[in-house]
This record gives sequence, structure tokens and C-alpha cells, in this order.
Amino acid sequence: MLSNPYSKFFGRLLLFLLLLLAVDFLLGNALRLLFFNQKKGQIAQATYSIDSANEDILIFGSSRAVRHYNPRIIADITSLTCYNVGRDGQRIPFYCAVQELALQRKKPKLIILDMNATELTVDPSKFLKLTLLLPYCKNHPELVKYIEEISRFERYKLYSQVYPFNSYLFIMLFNALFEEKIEADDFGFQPLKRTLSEEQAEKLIQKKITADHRNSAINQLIDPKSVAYFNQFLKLASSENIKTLVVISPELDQESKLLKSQIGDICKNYSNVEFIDYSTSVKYHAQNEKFADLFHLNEIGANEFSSELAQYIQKNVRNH
Amino acid sequence: MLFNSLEFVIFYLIVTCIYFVIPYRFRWFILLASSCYFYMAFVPIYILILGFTIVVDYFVAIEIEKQTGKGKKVLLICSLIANLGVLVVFKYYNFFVDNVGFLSSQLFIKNPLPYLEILLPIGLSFHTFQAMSYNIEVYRGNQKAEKHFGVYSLYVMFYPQLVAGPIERPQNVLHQFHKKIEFSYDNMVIGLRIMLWGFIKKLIVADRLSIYVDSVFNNPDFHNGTSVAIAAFFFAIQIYCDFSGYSDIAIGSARTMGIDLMTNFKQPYFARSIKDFWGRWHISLSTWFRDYLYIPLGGSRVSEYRKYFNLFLVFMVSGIWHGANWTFVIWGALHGFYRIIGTWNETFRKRMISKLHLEGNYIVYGFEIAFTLCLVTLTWIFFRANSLQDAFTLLANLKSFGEKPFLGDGTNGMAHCIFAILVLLAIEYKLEFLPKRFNLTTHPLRAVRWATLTAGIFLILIFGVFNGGQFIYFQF
Repeated sequence: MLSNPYSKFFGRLLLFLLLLLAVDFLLGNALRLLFFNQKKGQIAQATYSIDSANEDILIFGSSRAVRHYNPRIIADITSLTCYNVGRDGQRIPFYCAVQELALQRKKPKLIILDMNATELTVDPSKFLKLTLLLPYCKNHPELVKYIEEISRFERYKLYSQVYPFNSYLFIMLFNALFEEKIEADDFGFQPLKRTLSEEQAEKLIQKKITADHRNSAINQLIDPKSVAYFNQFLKLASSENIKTLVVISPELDQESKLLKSQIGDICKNYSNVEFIDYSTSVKYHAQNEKFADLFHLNEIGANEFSSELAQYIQKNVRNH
Repeated sequence: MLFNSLEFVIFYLIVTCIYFVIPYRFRWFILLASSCYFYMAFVPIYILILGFTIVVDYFVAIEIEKQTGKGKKVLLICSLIANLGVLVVFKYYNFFVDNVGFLSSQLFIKNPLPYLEILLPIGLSFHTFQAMSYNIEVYRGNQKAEKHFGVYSLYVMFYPQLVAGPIERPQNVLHQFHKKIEFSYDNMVIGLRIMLWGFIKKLIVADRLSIYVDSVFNNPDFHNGTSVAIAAFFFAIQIYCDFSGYSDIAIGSARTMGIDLMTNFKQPYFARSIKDFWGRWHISLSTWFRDYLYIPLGGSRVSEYRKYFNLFLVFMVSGIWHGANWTFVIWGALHGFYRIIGTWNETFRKRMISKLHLEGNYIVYGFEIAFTLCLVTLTWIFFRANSLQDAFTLLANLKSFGEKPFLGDGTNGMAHCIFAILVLLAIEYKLEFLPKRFNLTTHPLRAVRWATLTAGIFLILIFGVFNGGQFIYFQF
């Protein structure tokens, strides 16, 4: 039986592949069940943002959006519902993906897009982080075009039921096992509690100046793909007649003015899009007690900023 | 084309199938053509550089074999100059210009040398050393000059080991390209198993740790001593898994075609001394330096001081071989220094252990392993740092060791890093200390073998990093 090495090898290979398919199916579905049954934590928030968010105001952005905008305060002042769909480490392609799905469900009344100076610069990792969308591709095939930015084979990798849940097992198990230890979702807002001391702030700013000087050539390079995504985001909002605020939230130490003015210039091309730059605001600039680290406001700073922005919305957006 | 890409999987499957389907006499051609395609997937034009050295070495070797006496030596020198010349121009010229520029700026004069707008052809250092070993062996009479141009070209172009080794010797590989190799079930299974282990090392360990390592080493100003120490340790593991993972994929893919390549790593972080480490790390390179540089310099059959000089020189050359940057020179110099100190006090250490009756003591064993790992890890800081300035910044930051470390991608990312290291440690421990136990992939029960392989594949799918980029040693 199977004396020919070819038949022996390919026969067993076939059996082994069938075994792999079966395991992939079973394990993949188990992981899917675990993933979509997360009650608290970042995965649950991401699932809500992608599958369900339908509030009047949606806040898009990266970790700065997640830490800087308190939807509860904005909702209280504006009397509109609000959710923060920002995600740590994500960039403009991700915001476009979430925006596309959100607008299919319900048109929000206002979109707030938090940007920063480096949002449009060259950084290949901004596309790699789109792996966050992989688990949702099965239910939302329109996301596949975004995940193809990761690699041209990404679409084919999705034939595996397990692959979309790559790197999630530990966090899913932790969330499931220690659910009571995880804070409840505060409309997507995740404030940072710590405060930066003056000494720490000075030290960090010095380090940043050295690093910026060293990488000045790279830091200023504009990525055409990111610009295209930024235009896509604004175009969709504008075509749907949704008021959009592109906001540069407060910074401890100012990032590149040139890059920020480029963001402002792009915004001018769209109706219903307003660009607001809080990075120059004296209320926050160099105010270390309002920051948790070099790039993020702490809870005190975030609440103050959210309140200020909400009042601006109330005065200049809602009443017009 | 990267080994850790779907392109490679498709390429490998097609080439291996064609290899066994076509008649034996055309196999060299399919392997050579696919190797050229593999290489041209990086920067196509650079194949011409390899082509130049291949033509030179092929004809020179045939002439060396015919010649006797002085003519033979002259031909060998010509071939070495041609090979090293290409390497010097592409790899070291701009580094040289940089240094001349620095010196001339100190003397307030303009740099007299222009920069060359060239990229280093991928894997050039590996290719050069493999080509040189062929001509040296023909010169020494240990290897007959290969008359078949296609087979000789394949020897230096064979795609599994073309861009990052193992740096083969002609005696080991050339004759295999002439053999009629039948399709073998065992070769296929063993080869695929070795490849799977390589992919596990690369995708689960190396590329996972690289996320943390890159964050720290690319932003040296922002990280405290604890983070630098963690990143240096992670890099030690990363570079091992990256490079040995590549070697395993190379060895495994060659094995499926019935071709045996040399072992390149033997659990190096279980080494008990730097000397031991170099017997386990990048074996094909360290034996190359031993055979073609250290021994011709006199090796250890010279005076004590000359021996130390030889050791130091070999490691300095090894450093510069890795890259045209002072960081690599210092990395090599540190290893040279370690080896000199280790050789100098070797007798004393052995006598001490004997006097204290500590032979075979596990605590001493563990201490030696840990101490060697620390010494090696320190050198990796220079190896990984983007510049000498960065390396010194990182070392200066070590002063704040003990402060709260940076967590990289958060606790989830760190948990993946620790898990990856534990998986590696468990398997390496088994390979080093329990070679005859827990051989799950060769277990008599098929269910156990298949369960182990299935677990390996799903470990990659669940914990692997699929966008980790290229192998570190490709740049050399």
C-alpha cells in the first residue's frame, strides 16, 4: 500500500490538509464566538464602533482622540448623543473604513476628526495596523479594500477562519476571565489619569527636540496615499452634507506648523468642513499639569478641552 | 522575495514540483532559472554584478587547476581581488567617503571624494564569501574545478541560501547538483518540518519582538535603562530567531529537493563562553573565517601575542563584513576583546573549577550561560543601533535601569513577547538538554506527529506576525 513515494507523500499531505481545514474551521469559529461576545474592553468598543455606533456626533481619530474627547461632556453641553470611535495606534485609512460603515447605518449630525501633524506623513505602519479590521471583513466585505493596503494577499489569507483573530487570543481571554476588573465603556472615552510633572515635561520636550532634529528629513515627508484617504474622508462627509470639524487637539509642545497648515489647506476644499487648531492654545500649550505624557492630555485636560470644544459646537455649529 | 511571504510559498511550491517532474538532466537549469528569478525579485539589475563574479570565478578556477607554482597563486589573487573589489565598491566605498568627509571637515577642507548613488546588492557579502571559498578550495586542491558553467553558477546562486547563507563550501554542495536525486518521502517530511520550525522562529518570535525592539532602538532618546535592557535582550532573541529561522527555511527547502546544506546554528544562547558561542552561532561564517583567515594567519600555532592579534583581527573583519558602519566594527572588536580575555584566562578558570570541585555543577553551568548571554547582549546594542551616537545614547540611558519600563504595544503585545520567548526556550532547552526525549515530530504514533505539526501551524496563525518585513541578515 502506498509504496510509490509520490502517492505516499501526496496521499498523506491531502489527509493532513483536510485535518488543517477542520481544525481551522472549528478553532476559527470558537475564536469568532469569543471575539464577538466581548462585553468590555477595547475589542468590545471596536466592535461597537464598527457595527453599531449611530450617535449624533461621532469622534474619529487615534489615541489622541480616545484620550482627549469626553463624549459625556460633549453630549451634556450640546444635547446630542456622542460616541468616540477613535482607536489607539490607528490612522486615517482606519477612520475612512469606520466612517464608511457608520454612514451606511445612519448619518451623524456632526463628525469630529482629530488630526495631528504626523497624520499625513510617511509611515508604512499606519497601513499595517489595519489588521484590526480583519475580524469584521466577514460581515462587512466592503472592508476588504482597506485591508488590501496591508498586503495584496490579505484577501486570500481571509480564507482561513483563524487568521482574522491573529494576536487577539490573550486579550480576549483576559477580557473574558477578568471582565469585572475592566472599566465599563464610557462612550469610547479612555482618559489617562496620571499627570506629567514639570521636570518630566522639560525632559521629554528636550528629548523630542533632539529626536525631531535627527529625523527632520523623514518627519516632513508627505504620504500621497494618506492625503488621498484624508480627501476621501472629507469628500464623503461633505457629499452627505454632514458638518465636519477637523481638529488638532492640544499639544504640550507644538508639532510641525507646516504639516498642520497643509491639513488646514486640504479642509478648505470642502464645504461643511471646518479646521480648528487647538495646538497653539495658551490654555494647554506647555501646561504640564493638563498632560499625562508628551502627546496626550490627562483626564483634567481632556475634560477641560471637551468642554471648550462642546461650547464651540453649541455656539458655532448647532446654532447655525 | 521574502521567505515569510505568500509569494515565496507559491514560488517554492511551483519550483519544487517542476524540479521533480522534469528529467534529471534539466534540473540544474530549473534551479538556476528560479534562483535568478528569486534574486531579481529584489533589484533585478544587480544580478549582473553576481553574473560578473560568476564568470570570473568560473574561468579562473579552471585556469588555477591547470596552473602550477606562481601562476596559480597569481590567478587566485586576481579572483580574490575581483570578488572583494565588487564588495568594496558596493558595500564600503560610501562608508570610506563618509570617513574621509569627516576627517576633511576636521581639517576644514572639502571632501575630495564623491558619493556613489548605489544600493548594496542584497546578500552580496554571502555571495562573495561563497564564491571565494570555491576558488580557495580549488587552489588548495581540495576541490576540482567545476566544468559545467550552469552547475557552477547554481553553486553560488542556489536560491535557498543565496541571500543569507549558510555560506557553503564547494565540497559539501557542488557534487550534490550532479547527483540523480529521487523524490523521497523522508526528505520531503524532514525538510518541511525544518521549514515549519524556521517559520515559527521568524513569525512568532523574531517579528513579534522586533515591534518592541524597533520602538526603543529607533527612538533612543525616549527610553529609560529598563526599556533599553529589555530591548537589548529582545534583540538578542530576535536576531537569533530571525537569522536561524532563515537558515532553517533555507536548509529545509533545500532538503525537500534532496540537497543537504550545512547546519548554521546550535542553540547559541546555551553557550558557556564566547568561544563556545562562536561554535554555535553562524557556524558557516565562523568556520569560513577559521579556515580562510585565522588558520592562514598562523591560527593558534604562533606566539601568544600573535594569537591574540589573529583573534582580534578575525573578529574585526567579521564586524566589518556585517556592515559598513562603525557600530559593526565595535561589535566585532568587542567580540575580539572577549575572545582574547577568554583565551587568556581559560586555564585559570578551568583550574579554579577543578580545585573547587565544581565540574558539572548546575549553578556554575547556569552562571556561565547567563554571563555569556549578558556579554553577547551588550554587543548587540552596537549591532542594532542605527548609529554610533544612538548606541552611546542607549548605553547612557542604562543608568536609569530600574525605572518603570515602556510596554510597547501594551500588555497584550508584551504578553505575546513573553509567550514567544517561552515557546523558544522550551524547544531550545529540549534540543540542547533532552535530545532523545519529547521528539514529538518524529514520534512513532502518527496522531502525535500530526497533532504537533498542526499545533505548530496554528501557533503561527494565532500568534505570528505576518507583516514583519524582511530578514535582518538580508542587508549584509
